[in-house]
Amino acid sequence: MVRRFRRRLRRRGIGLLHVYVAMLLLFLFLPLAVLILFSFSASGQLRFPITGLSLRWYQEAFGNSSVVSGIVASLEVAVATGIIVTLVGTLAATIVNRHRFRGAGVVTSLMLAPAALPGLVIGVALLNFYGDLHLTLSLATVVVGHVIYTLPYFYLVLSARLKRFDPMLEEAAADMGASGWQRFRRVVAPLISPAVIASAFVVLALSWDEFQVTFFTIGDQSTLPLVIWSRSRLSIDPSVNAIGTLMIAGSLLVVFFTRRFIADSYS
Amino acid sequence: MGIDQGVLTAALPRPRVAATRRRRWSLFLLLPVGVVITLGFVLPIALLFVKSFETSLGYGQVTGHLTLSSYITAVTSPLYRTLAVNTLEIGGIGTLLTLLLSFPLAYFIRFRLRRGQNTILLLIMISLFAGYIVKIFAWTTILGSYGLVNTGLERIGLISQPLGFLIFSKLAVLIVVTYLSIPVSVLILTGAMQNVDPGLLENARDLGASGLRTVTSVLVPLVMTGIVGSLAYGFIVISGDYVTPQLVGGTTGQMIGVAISDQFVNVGNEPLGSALSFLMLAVFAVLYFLLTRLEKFKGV
Amino acid sequence: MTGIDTMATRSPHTQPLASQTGPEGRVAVRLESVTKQFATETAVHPLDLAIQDGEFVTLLGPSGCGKTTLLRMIAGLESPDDGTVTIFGEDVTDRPANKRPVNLVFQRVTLFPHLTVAENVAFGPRLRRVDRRETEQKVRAALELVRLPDFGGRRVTELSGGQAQRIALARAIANEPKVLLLDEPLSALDLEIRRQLQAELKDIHRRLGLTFIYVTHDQEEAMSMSDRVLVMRQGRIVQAGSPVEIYRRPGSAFVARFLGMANVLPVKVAAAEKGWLQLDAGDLQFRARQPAAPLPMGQSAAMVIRPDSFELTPLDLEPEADQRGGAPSGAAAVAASLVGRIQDVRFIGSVVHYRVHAAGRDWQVSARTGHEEVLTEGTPVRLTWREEEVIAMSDQ
Repeated sequence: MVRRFRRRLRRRGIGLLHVYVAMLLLFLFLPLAVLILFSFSASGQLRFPITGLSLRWYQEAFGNSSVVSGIVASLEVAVATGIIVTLVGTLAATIVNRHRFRGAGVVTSLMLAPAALPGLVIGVALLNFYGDLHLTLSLATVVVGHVIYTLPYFYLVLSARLKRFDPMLEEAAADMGASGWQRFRRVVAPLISPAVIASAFVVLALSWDEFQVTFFTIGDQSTLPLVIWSRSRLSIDPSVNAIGTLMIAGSLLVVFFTRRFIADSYS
Repeated sequence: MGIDQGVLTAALPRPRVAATRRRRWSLFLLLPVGVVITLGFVLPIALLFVKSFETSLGYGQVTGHLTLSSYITAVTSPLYRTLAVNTLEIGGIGTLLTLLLSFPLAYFIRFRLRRGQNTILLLIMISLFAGYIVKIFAWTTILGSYGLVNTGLERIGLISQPLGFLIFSKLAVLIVVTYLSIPVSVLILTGAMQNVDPGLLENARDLGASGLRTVTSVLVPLVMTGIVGSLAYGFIVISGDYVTPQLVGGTTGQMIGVAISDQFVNVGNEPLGSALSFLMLAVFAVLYFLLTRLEKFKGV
Repeated sequence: MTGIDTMATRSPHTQPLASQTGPEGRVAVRLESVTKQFATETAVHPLDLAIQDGEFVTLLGPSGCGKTTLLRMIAGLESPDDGTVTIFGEDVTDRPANKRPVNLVFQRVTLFPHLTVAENVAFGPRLRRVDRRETEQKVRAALELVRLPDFGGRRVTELSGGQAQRIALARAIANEPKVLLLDEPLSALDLEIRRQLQAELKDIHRRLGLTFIYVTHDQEEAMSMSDRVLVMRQGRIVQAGSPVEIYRRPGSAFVARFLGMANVLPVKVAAAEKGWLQLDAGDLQFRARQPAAPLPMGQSAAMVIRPDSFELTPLDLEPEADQRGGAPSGAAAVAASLVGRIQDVRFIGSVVHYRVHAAGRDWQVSARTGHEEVLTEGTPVRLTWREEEVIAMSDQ
């Protein structure tokens, strides 16, 4: 009987691989589902089964000033990081990509180096650095950490896209009489902006979610991940579920809006 | 312009004006990135390295006296040895597990999905950006004594007592870190597989290779770069994780990252923390070397 | 020195020039001692070149011969390592591409994908801040010239290959360059479209009177469109002249083979006197005129008898007495005719191609059909030719 069932499945093209993939995807989304579920649980105890539904954790989360300020701080850091990395990274990626020169390998290696280290080491190095300089920790010091952490990823994603840019287009523009600046403004910039925007969103997402470097470089103001961390250390705090659900919703929204730009690299 | 003038001009060497100008301009435009990387990364790492040779007075104070004592402590102390072994275990198993679990999914997405590719990848990205801390926290709910797994198993009747080893244990850490690194691993592998022509795999099947054989002999060598990337990324991220052990590790699931973090935040012994960090980086360097060897592997 | 001149005495491997047949007038582009070297090879050896205003000149050669590099040096996209580039008397060697009064139509489609067709064509004028009405006029005129007057609003992605290259041409022309450069613009297109565009290009050239410098590896294309052809090989110009000149008198075996000529034989110069050569092809001897670049005695060389230079008569039509074999008894006797057998017949319509085996070699012979019978395979035949039709050349 099992064999007949399997055969029916096989005819529909469903094999072992399909089963595995379904299970893995279930595994990936299970914690998120649990999170969302418990964010609506009425009881304060995080155990199965759920007894009732309520929105109290959302109320508590938003009523809490530290949560709100955490969100604001995270946004500020993410935007600041996004701007800096986009400016610096786009410049670097376009130059290395379009002009062949001997230092290129070195520059690229240096730029990608932070990705070879765990956030722990970057954070600790920065903490030590600030300590030696007697700098007070603040959101600015956090931004530095985020810039270093996200720059390699921005550079990687943008470089990959830039490789698709036909250098003859720029030659054609030059041939038409366009100066360097005109070529950039009229041809290069419009064509690479989707790639730049996609890469910038990667930076925003990475920064928004970042904990491991932030932990060491944070001052008085906490970003949202830090807020969650401190709350879950003190006690089992169910409002964390609410915050978590909101973060999922947020990332869904962001990904949905940038779908146009991201989809390109995988089609 | 007569021929004689032409001869004269030909005799004089002409400097390559345009090329040098361009190079100088490029170098100038790279200055911002250079400054950022140097101040934000190279300098702090270098200073940290120097710090590892200082003598600690506790609470962040150091003397100017340089010594290897931190390194010696790091290497000889039984506590750090245990932590290191733990880290290597969890790191190693976790990384391999991540690769093994991610590979079939990446294969499925790249070669079996026709229209759903982007959707699934987007979903994976969402799971990736849903919040690092939040996800670890969610696992406590699942693995806890009253969590999903235990209550589920109890309901079915398979167990009468909650399984204690599921949470606050090495196993818990392993499960969670693997979970955390699967999304990125899938993205890396899918990316590497994009460049593989499905015709190649079909060709192998046509020549008589079984499904598994095709994968191991043909696909794996072609995406070796992606595999190596996944392994490198996985090992670094998992070994350097100092949050997961603290939240779900209990006493047995601690890793070296926690010790390092501790030195800097609580104890104030920067030299020791720094020494531990660089020893960890040394291990990573060995790993990179091994992985570059692996990249040349031609498949079974 | 007015008039076209190409490598006079500089390169030892080259032929002296065919006499200038192009229109008298100003020199549009002059290159002197231009050299270009890349890391692994010399792309262009020291080269002199002068192109007259209004000419349609083609650089013809196999891939890697340096023709594209040369073109790009005129355009300003590559700088020569040595030498000067002059356009209408102005030295532009150190000027970047955007400051030169030339425009290039690229091999690939390089229309800007984020602009419409009209915006693409208007790109040059807009850069120079030409006022809107004038720009629109120029765009319209250019689009009409390439016969796509209604395409202004289309997106680049909607164009076919042929249409895209036409728009690229329109874009270049709208910029009103003094010289138009074309880098194999038709090579990616289907045969039929290519033929059509070749004719249109020739027409546009005639209408505009603009200097055209064309690069291609397709000898048919070069011969059909150009006033003058410069054949290139490994960074040097090996022959220059009008298409007719080059076809009638290829200067070297390389040029002959590149033009698709058949019946190229390696020979040795056995004797040379009074403007005539005796060529030793091993078992056969031939007489030929001394070529423009004289071949000394004892030199190894090459010869060509074009398929259409042969007269073909079936042996059974000859009186018995004249049926003598073609292979001469002694090495010194020059062959007056060859006797052989038809191996292959290809009837094309107005022309028929025969492959005849005679004197141990295969000969390609072509004849007009007209009222004569088409001969069949196996027919024994005699090949005759006029000595003037034997072309002697260098074997390089």
